[in-house]
Amino acid sequence: MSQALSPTIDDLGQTEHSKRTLGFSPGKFAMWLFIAQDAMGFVGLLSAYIVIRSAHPGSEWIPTVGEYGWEGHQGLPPLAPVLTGINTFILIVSSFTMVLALDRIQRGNQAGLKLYLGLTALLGATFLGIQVYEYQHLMSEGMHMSAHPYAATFFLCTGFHGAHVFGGVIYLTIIWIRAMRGNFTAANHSPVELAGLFWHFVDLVWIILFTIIYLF
Amino acid sequence: MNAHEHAAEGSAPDVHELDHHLGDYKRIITILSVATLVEFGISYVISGGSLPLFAGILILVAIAFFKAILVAKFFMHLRYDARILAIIAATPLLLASFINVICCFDAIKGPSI
Repeated sequence: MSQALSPTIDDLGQTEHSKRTLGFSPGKFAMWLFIAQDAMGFVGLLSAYIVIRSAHPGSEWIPTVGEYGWEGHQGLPPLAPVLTGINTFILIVSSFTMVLALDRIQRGNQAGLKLYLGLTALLGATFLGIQVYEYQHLMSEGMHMSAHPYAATFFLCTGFHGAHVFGGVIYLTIIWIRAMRGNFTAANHSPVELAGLFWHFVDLVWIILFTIIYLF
Repeated sequence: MNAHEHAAEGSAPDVHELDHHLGDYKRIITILSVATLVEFGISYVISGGSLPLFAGILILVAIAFFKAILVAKFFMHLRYDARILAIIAATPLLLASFINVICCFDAIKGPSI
């Protein structure tokens, strides 16, 4: 009798049993574990940036005169916080379109899911395009990984994040293709939620990186 | 039962719950946008010399963490999900922050590298 009221893991399978007893799927648990360890990687790189910057106070940090940069240029080029601010806004909006995509499929709205998932991937690709443009500009002004510890830590932190955005755009595109095939419903949309978790994490990391690297 | 628990049980979530979440999402995107503009303003005030650098950094970092917490709580659903997921997310960050602070003190007090 009690077995009929409380189905066992053998009756339900591991995924369904986990959902009913813990309130989240093994997939969501695994995604959070991945995010936690990935966050440690970002913190490591950001720590390197902060520690090296602390050891190079004032004008030592971003040399405006001296041997850095190409001939005819004075020091390393300044960053473009306004352009990157626009990029930050793009990423924040992409997080919003991602939650709208999830909201739509939870309501059973397939068209809304496809629209907002596609928009999210497109905004992510736009972010990458602007970052590539920024890198090209900085490199043409003589800012390379080997130019200065500032340049090395800048490219490592923003490049590692850019790799995540690139991976996220691919991930979202795959989910979008599956959505186009009608693979998700209001009751079965776990892959959309997991992709959203990863994408919001990428946005969250950029919020911190942008402030620390570009704003002071 | 919230929308995510409904999804976890394989049933369609409650529309009223979804409407409530949608209202939260709209408020959060507005706050994030305004906070980003405020950060820009503070950055210009720092570069103009009207605000001490250390105070400016503290304010900017506080706003950044406030924004990050909003994303985690509302967009990543930590506010609605099981508490264990929030603990998984917070634990390594607390450890890393501790190590970060120690490294910063060492870098400031130690010889230049």
